[in-house]
Amino acid sequence: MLSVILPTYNEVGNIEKLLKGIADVLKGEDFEMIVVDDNSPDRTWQKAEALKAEYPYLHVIRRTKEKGLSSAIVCGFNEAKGNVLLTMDTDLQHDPAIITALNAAIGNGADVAVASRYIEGGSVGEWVAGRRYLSKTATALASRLPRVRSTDPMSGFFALSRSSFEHVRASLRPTGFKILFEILSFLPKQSVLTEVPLTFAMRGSGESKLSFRVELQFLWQLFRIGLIRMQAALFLLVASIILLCTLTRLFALLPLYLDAEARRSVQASLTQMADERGWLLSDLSVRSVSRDSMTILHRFHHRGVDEVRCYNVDFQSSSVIPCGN
Amino acid sequence: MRKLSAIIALELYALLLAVFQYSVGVRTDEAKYLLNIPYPHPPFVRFVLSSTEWLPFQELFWRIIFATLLIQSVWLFWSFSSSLSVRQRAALFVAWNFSAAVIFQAGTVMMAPLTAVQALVFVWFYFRFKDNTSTIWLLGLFWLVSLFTAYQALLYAPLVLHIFWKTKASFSLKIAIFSIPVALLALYSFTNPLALASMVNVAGKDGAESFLFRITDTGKLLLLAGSFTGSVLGTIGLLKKPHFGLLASFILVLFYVLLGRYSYYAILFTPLLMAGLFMLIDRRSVQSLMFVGMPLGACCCLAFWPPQTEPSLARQVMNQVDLSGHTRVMMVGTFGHEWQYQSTVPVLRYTSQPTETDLIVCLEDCTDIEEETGFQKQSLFGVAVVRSQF
Repeated sequence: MLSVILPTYNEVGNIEKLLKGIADVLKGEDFEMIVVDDNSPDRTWQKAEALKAEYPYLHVIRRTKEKGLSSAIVCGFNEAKGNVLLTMDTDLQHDPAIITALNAAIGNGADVAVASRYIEGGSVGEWVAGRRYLSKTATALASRLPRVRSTDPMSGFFALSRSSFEHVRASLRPTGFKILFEILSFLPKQSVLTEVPLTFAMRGSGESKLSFRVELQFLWQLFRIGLIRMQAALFLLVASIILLCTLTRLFALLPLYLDAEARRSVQASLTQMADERGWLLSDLSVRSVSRDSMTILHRFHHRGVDEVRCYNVDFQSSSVIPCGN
Repeated sequence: MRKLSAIIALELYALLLAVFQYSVGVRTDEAKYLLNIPYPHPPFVRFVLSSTEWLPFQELFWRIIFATLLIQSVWLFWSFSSSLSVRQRAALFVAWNFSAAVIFQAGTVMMAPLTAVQALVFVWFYFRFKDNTSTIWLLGLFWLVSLFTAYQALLYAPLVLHIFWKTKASFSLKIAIFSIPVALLALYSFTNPLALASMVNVAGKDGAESFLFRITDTGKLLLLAGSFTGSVLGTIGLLKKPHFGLLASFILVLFYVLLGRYSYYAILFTPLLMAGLFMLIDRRSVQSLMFVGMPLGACCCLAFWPPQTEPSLARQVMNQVDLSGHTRVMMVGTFGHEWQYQSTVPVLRYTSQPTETDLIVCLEDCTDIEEETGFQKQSLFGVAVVRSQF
């Protein structure tokens, strides 16, 4: 069965035409429609409820505590009963006729099917230059991160198999608008992706929800997914740097732990130097130790210009000579 | 808009607490971190702090940052309590911000409040996501950063281990990502003999205290951690709905405080008490108790155990003394690192034969020094300051 998830916010002018369009395309098919409304001020949810009499396979979820396109889609996916999950925009910019192609792609074994504006036959329609540029930039930034690559990871018109959704469900942190981007980032690399061309139509009624806040959310999402994709490398890099630095230093200090005589000599020398010169022990740092001598650094820990001086200390003669002399 | 107003209000609260701490002056432990003195804690945070030594307002800058981190970390509760009502979430907000430990520690440049914030992040990981498999390496990285901030982070090892355990990663990967940071910390410790020596030294000093004294002191710190009400309710929550990681960490913190009992340890309890409160928060009676009991409890804590309000001796003396013409400050008697911080010239212990450009600060009687050197003495805030001429 196909589940069509329709996230809405202030789409009262478009919802009836959209539902009719989908019902016409999927006539005779086994499907359900789930409207997930974020408590629209224009009462889109109420209009959808009224249409249930006409479409008995229509379910309406009205969310009052949570808001956001991505979380609405995930909410719909969670409630859906179908084994193919599909979502699309509800402002009439997506042609319902493409649903058939997306559904068929999943039926033919694809894990994800994406309606792409950037493959042959697809287009962004009549967008103004500014919006066109913004979309291309966002797509360029986002296209390299996901494990499963798509020409249009920002698309809001896509379908996936239930098993693919179950695989990524726990990893999803749905914020902002771009849930496909997140899904593609967590699917296994070997997942099969099919693309069908999409021509973006003009919006029906209502206003675009794209705002500066949404753009910031996208940047945050990019950063978060980027961090998650690189997390193993980051961990191993930091751990390796710490290991290298500590092993180098530990090797230089080994006699301190293995040789009781060297340990006694170090302690005695440090105490003697500190007493003679008034140095604090915390201002001294032992850099290397051997049976006969050690190298230390002294720093006054004085705010501002604070020289660090190196000294070689001979245990036998108790001489303290600046390094390099 | 409401959220922004809340953020601004909390930030003003944090600023107030930071400015209060600034008026008191740098404490010896704070000086260690601001000057990157290499004990007792690992180097990560103190390296960052000391890289701003060139800032004339370094101390105030970091007090504001630390206070902000502690007070604004309340939004972590907002994140993992999304299933709760606004009233319930507000009760958690009140509980955290009226914890006496948070009030006393916000604005201090210490590792204990920082460790508490890191512990709260682990509590967030624990409650926010059923499954942290997709971010297991990030979790490991944060665990590594926590351990290299302060050794105290080890107290939350059971909680961290529990979070790793709940993931779907393989057994060997879980153990590896958990253990590698611990092993690196152990390796680092052997490269800093001063840190190991200071731990042994501190343990030895506390060894003589009686068990009863330890128990009462620990009890006091637990009460401070949750301003009485939060301490009782939070502990009940942890015991009533036992989660291995939270309870085991709570017990570890209890034993750690029993051994050490420094007042700033109280905040190490607070994230765990908050977890306990979260588990009880569905009860309306608990919410009401928190709205009323927490502020009341905070007032009682402030009354019974008031924080220091007088500026530190080091600040008072060093602000008063004119160090122009002097190249060193020599200290007679036991002194803390705050003298190094407050002084504009190097500070060292007194040795014999000071020169004319030395300034001597006597925290003990130094009549014999006056006589030997012929230097003049001035009394400042109960401390004798000796130099060749005034």
